[in-house]
Amino acid sequence: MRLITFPQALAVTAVVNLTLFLTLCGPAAAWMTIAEALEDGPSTAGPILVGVGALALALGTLAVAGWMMRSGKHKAGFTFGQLLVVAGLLGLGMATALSPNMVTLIASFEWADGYNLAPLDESNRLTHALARGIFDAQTPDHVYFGRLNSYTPGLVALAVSFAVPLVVLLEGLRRTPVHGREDIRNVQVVACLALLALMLAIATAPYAISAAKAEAYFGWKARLNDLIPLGIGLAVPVAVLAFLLVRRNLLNAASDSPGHLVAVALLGVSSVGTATLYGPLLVAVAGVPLVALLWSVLNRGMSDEGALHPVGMGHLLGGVALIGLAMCGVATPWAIAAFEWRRAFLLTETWLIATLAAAYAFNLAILAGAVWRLRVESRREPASEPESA
Amino acid sequence: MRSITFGQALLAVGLVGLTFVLVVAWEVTAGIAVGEAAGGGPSIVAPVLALALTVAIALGAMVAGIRGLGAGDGAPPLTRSQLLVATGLLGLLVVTASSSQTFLMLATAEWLGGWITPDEAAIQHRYGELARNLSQVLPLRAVRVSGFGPPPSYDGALAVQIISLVVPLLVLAIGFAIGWKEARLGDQTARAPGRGTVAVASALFALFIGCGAGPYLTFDVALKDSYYNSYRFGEYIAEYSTLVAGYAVPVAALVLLLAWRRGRKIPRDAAWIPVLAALLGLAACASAGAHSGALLMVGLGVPLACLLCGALARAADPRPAPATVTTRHLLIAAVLANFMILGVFTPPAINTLSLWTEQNPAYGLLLAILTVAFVIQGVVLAVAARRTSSADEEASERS
Repeated sequence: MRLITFPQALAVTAVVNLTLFLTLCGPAAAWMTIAEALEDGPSTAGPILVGVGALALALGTLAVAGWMMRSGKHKAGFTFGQLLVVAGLLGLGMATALSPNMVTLIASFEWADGYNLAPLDESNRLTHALARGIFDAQTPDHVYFGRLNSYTPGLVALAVSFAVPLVVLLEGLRRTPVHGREDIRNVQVVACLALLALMLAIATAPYAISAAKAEAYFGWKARLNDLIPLGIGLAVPVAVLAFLLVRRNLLNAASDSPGHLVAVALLGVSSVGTATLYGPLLVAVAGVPLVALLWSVLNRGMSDEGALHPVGMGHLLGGVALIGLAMCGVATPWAIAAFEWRRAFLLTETWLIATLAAAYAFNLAILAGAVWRLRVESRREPASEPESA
Repeated sequence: MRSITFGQALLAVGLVGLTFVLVVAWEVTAGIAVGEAAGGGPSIVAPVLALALTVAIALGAMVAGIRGLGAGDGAPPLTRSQLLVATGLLGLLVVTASSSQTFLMLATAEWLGGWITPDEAAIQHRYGELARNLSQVLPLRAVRVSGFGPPPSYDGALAVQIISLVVPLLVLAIGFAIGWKEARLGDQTARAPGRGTVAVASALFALFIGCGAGPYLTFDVALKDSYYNSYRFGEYIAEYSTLVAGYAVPVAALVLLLAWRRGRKIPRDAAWIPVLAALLGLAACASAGAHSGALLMVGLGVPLACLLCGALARAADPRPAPATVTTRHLLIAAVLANFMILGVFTPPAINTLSLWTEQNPAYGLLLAILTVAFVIQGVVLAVAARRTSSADEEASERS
């Protein structure tokens, strides 16, 4: 992360946030078209305001980045405070990109008075069909036929999804030094990743909670499809942050700790699992670290000159475990849904459990192997100086 | 890619392939269980064989990789032919694992062709209903909405499946042939994969992702044809566009690269690299996104791992690194990630558009958003390519 300057990071964050909003607001756009087609339809003020807010956030960030680049004062590497600012902005972008789902749900609910529409007759047949279509136009598509009796929990979750990134952003601004620089330690990078994963889970919470409420009609088991991925998405980053806080002194001294690797792997699997509920978000989750890696690779140019040292086995296995666990993360939410579905039809689930368990066990074993190899390799290398505090 | 040995590459390919087939197997077993429970359900021979074959290939690659690691730190870095072999092997694993889903669908279609259940017991009838809708069991976005009976014909899907299996085998054969030729000539200097070979391997990888998704997308078209009971192009535009993107873009890239290579006209500047990478990323993510999350993660995860390996190897490189990245590199990185996001977003957007044009509501806003998203990234890509080109010119002038 030291290879990139703060203004450059701000520019990338702005572009990613803008693309994320543009790709995730399609269903809200569909909803708005239906709402506007209705005479006296639901208010479209909410989604429009969110759209304006998303554009303002992205363009504002881009403007600040441009101003900083022109001033030429920010050519040094990142500080931890600046890293927190970037993480907070990314979290705010995720919350903004996902909020139209909840905002349109609230507007629909208010308009239709909790789905209690006027009796159907010939004159309002089209209106009725479109009004039901408004609920169907939501995403993700598992709220089709449920009935909400209240949107208060979802609204609270929405407020929290904006509050947490703002707190991270403000904390970052507070920690950003006016004079002098402070190098980032690996443990701080992992902490920022955990915060990002937490903000991602919180951003998905409003709709997941509303969907779970709507699906109460089908019994409590139906709620698990939404609540289990959400619970994992929230619990893992919190656990990682707690671990980093407790083992801070030990981890500060290690530049390449196996604890970091395990933490990142867990964050990867929980984030991808949560993001799977929202297709493009999954790519963003994978794309952001991809961009971070590209920075370092492209920084060395695209020349083929010069031979490079082979990668250590610990790193190689660690990379493979990250991919494997991420794939398991993609499979798990659907697995939970299918598991419930299969139980309802009294089907055997032995093979389902066995194969998924094998996939997890296999990758956890690789991860354990990576940790073991990293330890062996670190013992062989001469002791390096601990990073500056 | 020079920073990895052949043994390491084979081991990594085997591990990724094994994880992928386990995830896919998990999905397929749902269908197999339903078929078995229905009593006299669809044959499970073909999907189980495909899964077993994939596991065998993955384990074979891992064993070969572990044996290759015996040379230790003194092992030579990956050569041009070894890169092709590793890429072909990964493609074979992806396509073979994905074929289990296609074969399950084909078996179901065969079974449904002669399915009569007037006198079955209630419990069997219930499972029979489930088996009839087997396509809804699989967690594939494309087919979930259209499990309404057998397709009129699955010849198209079968043909695409066979082609998809042949392509990685062909790449493997070419890789082995080049390796044998190199070994015979004993030419050590010509063995390292250059920029062109890495680009070819990237295009092949994107093609394999398309090959993994292609058969199922073709089957989806046939299923929709059955449901709508008539051929209307608008109904299939999402499947066709992703199918064409998955195959045509990588093939076009390969043709271009081979033509450059044959004419020794590979451009000296690096402006074509981000353009090629963005187009391949877009095509691979579009076809994988229309298929399943697992395939999408392979499409994203494998390049991620390659970059991770490269970054880690460079971290171990004693040569000093520049302090900051240039803005052009930054733009390239951002545009690559964003094109992948657009790739996943586009198929459902096209699907919605085609549906809406049939029902005639206003779709201007949705179309505008799609257009704006592409225009922004197109502009950023053009700027990045231009800056890369001008930077190369400056560098050559200085030298």
